[in-house]
Amino acid sequence: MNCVPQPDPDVVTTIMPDGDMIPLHLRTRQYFSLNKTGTLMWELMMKSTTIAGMGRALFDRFEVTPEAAEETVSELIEDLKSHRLIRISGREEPIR
Amino acid sequence: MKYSLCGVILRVFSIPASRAACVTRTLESLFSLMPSSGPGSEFRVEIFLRDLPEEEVSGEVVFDAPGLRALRTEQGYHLQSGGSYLGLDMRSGLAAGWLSEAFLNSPLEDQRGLFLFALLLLLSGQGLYGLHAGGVVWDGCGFLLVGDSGSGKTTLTCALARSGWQYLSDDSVLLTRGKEGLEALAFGRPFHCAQAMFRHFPELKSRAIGASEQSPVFGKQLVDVAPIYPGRFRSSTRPQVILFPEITRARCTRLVPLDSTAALLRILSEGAGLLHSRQSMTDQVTLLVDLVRNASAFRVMIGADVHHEPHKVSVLLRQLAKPGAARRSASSPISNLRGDHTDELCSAA
Repeated sequence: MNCVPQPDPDVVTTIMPDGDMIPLHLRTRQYFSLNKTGTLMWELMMKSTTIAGMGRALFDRFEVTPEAAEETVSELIEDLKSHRLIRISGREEPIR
Repeated sequence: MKYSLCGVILRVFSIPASRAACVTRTLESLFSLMPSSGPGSEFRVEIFLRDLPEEEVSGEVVFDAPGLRALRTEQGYHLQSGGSYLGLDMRSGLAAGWLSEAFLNSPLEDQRGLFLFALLLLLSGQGLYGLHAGGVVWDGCGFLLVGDSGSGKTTLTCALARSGWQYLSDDSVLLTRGKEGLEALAFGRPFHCAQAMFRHFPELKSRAIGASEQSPVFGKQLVDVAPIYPGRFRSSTRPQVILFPEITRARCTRLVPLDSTAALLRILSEGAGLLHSRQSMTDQVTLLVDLVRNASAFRVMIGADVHHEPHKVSVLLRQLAKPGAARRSASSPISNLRGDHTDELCSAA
């Protein structure tokens, strides 16, 4: 859970008028659609937040259990990873 | 001879000179070229052909399909089609290479890929980006019809042209930033008609240019529609409505609104031939975002009335061209992080 997911350097993002974000990989052309909550997660990734830290942010902001927050973050990470939009490093980062 | 293609001067040179005339005739048949006598834009696209064997070229393969291969090189791109090739210099707008007799004598549809790729790449360097879309206009309001092959773009374009609409193309337009905002420019000239279309639009058969024996999978014929719908051609428009046609078995055509995010995702998957340099792709995506922000978007569930009562489909779509036509957005569920979008079906406006 102290792994740090980060956007692939070849990804550009677009913010739509309704607040959704679309990350697009310039080499693979893979893209994804993130709603406002997903966009928050992406912004945390850009700040090198750990997966655990992202779960805590979700827990703090929404009325979800810690387990549900953790599971939701994990699912999103897996989705983005399968689209090759993010990379995972195993660096130890300060707990945020 | 000098031509204008979407505001860019185009010329063809060759050694021997006779080959230039042949290539020019081909380009005139395939793209919306107009003879130009003025000085034209600063940027020019020049195709220079000479009888020299192809040299060894190294580069990253960015496209590889039967009949066409593209490599990215230091200067730009190298395109290969059978024994013919064109080397593209993006900075100067020059395409230099050699086209074999077999290539020049092949059906138009078989030659189209090489020229289409070359022009799209060279023009992208000037902020003109290709979109796999048809373009039609009603009362000054531009509509783009975006979708994969077989989605119904040509069928819908013909139905609307029959009902008095103007058209740019059934299949390919260029998007660019004009002085007054985003513009769509006519690019592809002939319509791409499936055999089944001739039953419902018999007027098209008389102007079929020819089918490709090598493209039976697509089963489409090029049709010069200018004589069929005289005076309806339009070289440019400001797109205000984006339509995503889908052929259905329903009796009547109906519309389903899309929000801008859903529209952008569909354009990325069905319409935008994204380019290969980081800067070009970034610029192209920015253009597409501006397009969906400033236009209304709808799925068009095409029914049988497109063939039997095309004027009804025309009346339905004409309503979208009215000033102040409400932009209806489908709801965007935020109950999960994945941001999946669910379309809401609604009756036709």
